[in-house]
Amino acid sequence: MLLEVKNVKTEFKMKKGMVKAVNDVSFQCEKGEILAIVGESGSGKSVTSLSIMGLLARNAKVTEGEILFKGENLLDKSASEMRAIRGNQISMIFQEPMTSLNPVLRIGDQLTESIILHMKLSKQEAMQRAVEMLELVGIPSPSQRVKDYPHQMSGGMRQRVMIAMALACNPELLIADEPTTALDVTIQAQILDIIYRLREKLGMAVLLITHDLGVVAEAADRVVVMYCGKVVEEAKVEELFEKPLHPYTMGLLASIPRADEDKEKLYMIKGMVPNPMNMPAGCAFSDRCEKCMSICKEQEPAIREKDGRKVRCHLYTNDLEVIH
Amino acid sequence: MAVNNEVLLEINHLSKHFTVEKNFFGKPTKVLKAVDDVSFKIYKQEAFGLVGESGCGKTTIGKMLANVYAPTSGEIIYNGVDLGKLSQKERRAYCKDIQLVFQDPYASLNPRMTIGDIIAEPIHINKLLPAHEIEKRVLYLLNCVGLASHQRNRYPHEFSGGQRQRVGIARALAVEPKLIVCDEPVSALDVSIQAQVLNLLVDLKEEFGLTYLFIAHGLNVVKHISDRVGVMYLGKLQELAEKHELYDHPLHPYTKALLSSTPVIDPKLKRNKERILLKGDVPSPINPPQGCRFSTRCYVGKLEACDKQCPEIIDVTGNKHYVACHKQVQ
Repeated sequence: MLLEVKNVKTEFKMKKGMVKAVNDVSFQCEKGEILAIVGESGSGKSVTSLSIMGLLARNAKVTEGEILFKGENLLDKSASEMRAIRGNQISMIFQEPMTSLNPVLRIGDQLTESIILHMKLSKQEAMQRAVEMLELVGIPSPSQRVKDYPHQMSGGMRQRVMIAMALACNPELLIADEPTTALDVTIQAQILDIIYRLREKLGMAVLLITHDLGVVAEAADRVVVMYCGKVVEEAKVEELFEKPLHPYTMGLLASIPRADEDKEKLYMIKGMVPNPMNMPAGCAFSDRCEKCMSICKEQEPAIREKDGRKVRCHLYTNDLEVIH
Repeated sequence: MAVNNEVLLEINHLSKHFTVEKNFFGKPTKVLKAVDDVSFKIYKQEAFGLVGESGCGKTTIGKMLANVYAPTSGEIIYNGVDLGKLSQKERRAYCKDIQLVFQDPYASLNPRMTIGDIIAEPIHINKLLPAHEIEKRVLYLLNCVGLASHQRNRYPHEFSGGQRQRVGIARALAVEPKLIVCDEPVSALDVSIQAQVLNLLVDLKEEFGLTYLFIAHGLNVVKHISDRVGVMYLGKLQELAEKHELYDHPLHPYTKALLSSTPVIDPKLKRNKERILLKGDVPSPINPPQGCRFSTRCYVGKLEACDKQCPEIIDVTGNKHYVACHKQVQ
């Protein structure tokens, strides 16, 4: 197993008290797998990825659990040990291609920085590697482009530069946090295609963090659905879209407009995500759930698991049979 | 969704050019053609969708209709009146009829006004109601968009994105408009909230007999809400048809690529789907390609005319399916 996240809790210290952004999250990711983490804003998907990278804000801390990367707990690593892993074995693509690049450095200098640091190459060799990487992600005339500044490139090109940077040291795990959200559809298709091809070619695993179920359906092998800091469902992508188990997943799938269907009205999940300072008792989704039972308001459901398929809901028995 | 045959709004050869750079004598040397010679009609009580990628000019069209920008050339004919020929004073009478709903619900509401005051402001400005009746109207509008009367005195920061978008819609409705230009009204919202706002827009359209110009980049969302859809690329309208016709039988290579790039919500379909991946980026609108705007990224074998002459948008099937492509004419 490449990455194992076990019972991780990440808490933020706020003026009004502690907020659990990630609450007892566990999942695994194998070598060469594309695992999608889906959820709406505030579900804790980005905080999960930052916890793995050790890039949490100062007021946040992983208070419980383990993050095992190739069997070693990343939470025990010192800052300098993490620096050796970050950008080398694990790298990350951020959401905003417009703001994640340094505006006053040339593309080539930004690309070679991590190559020189991790691969111990000379400046010329690193520049050559940078040009190769830009070519790999489909940037035309890369040897001229390395001299450009970020503002000279379009959004899609900057995102490709980010990918090139993340992949420069052949990482074993790529964390992509909303890699296509800020981009147009035709560029999104290009970027997803690049990630998909590089996975095949380099055999890296990808943790794809997104709110877009369309992107999940296109790219992922397995899916983890998060709601309010918890994993509510986990399944293979085909299973999830064919037969979602958790009422939240069902609602999400029913509420997106689809090109292949004609509906006068979309399904609506009523209400909105609860305030993390003021969570409902029992199941976090109970206030919005159509199938809410009395037990849901009292007791937090445990994860039920069968053949790698997981759901956190009182509707199911431990064998994932529906309780009537 | 009944489509009326009465034309509410017609735009003819509408263009908007922005001057990016001037020389010493004030003569423009660099011109950005945001919208270039676009014509279409919007019928009464229909929802007209406009799709395209960023920078294609769809928002600029919406802003020209709402009198935010003055067109460089071309006509906007609303209910038989050419709005461009009116003085600004006369023009203002029509502003009331065409209202905007903006994309970013966080930036489009004044943070220092209560939501009740935000909704009341356009009624005050247009002097639509005597002062003592305004409050009643505000509460009615709040209820229309699914907010509670007791929330009237709260400030925008107390609301979530979806609720703020409802306030934005209520503000647009306040002056009893005929046409609402919805500029990406749901793209900043979470998936579960998107459905709520889309359903609200559909309900309001029925209830008030509204006409929508629905601008968005998500093809699925546009298909859901619109009756007819226009596709724009680099300031030009490339294809226009009834939505089923357009989505099932796209003719323009760009429309085909857009449709094939849109993720399908079915993991089983993705593997046997033939995908058209466009190469490169959208060219700069300051220096667009000669001839057909799409010619630099077109993947269908080129004709000589493609590089030289910009294709006219014409009805090729006789079925009100308009397309601007040299290959369709042959």
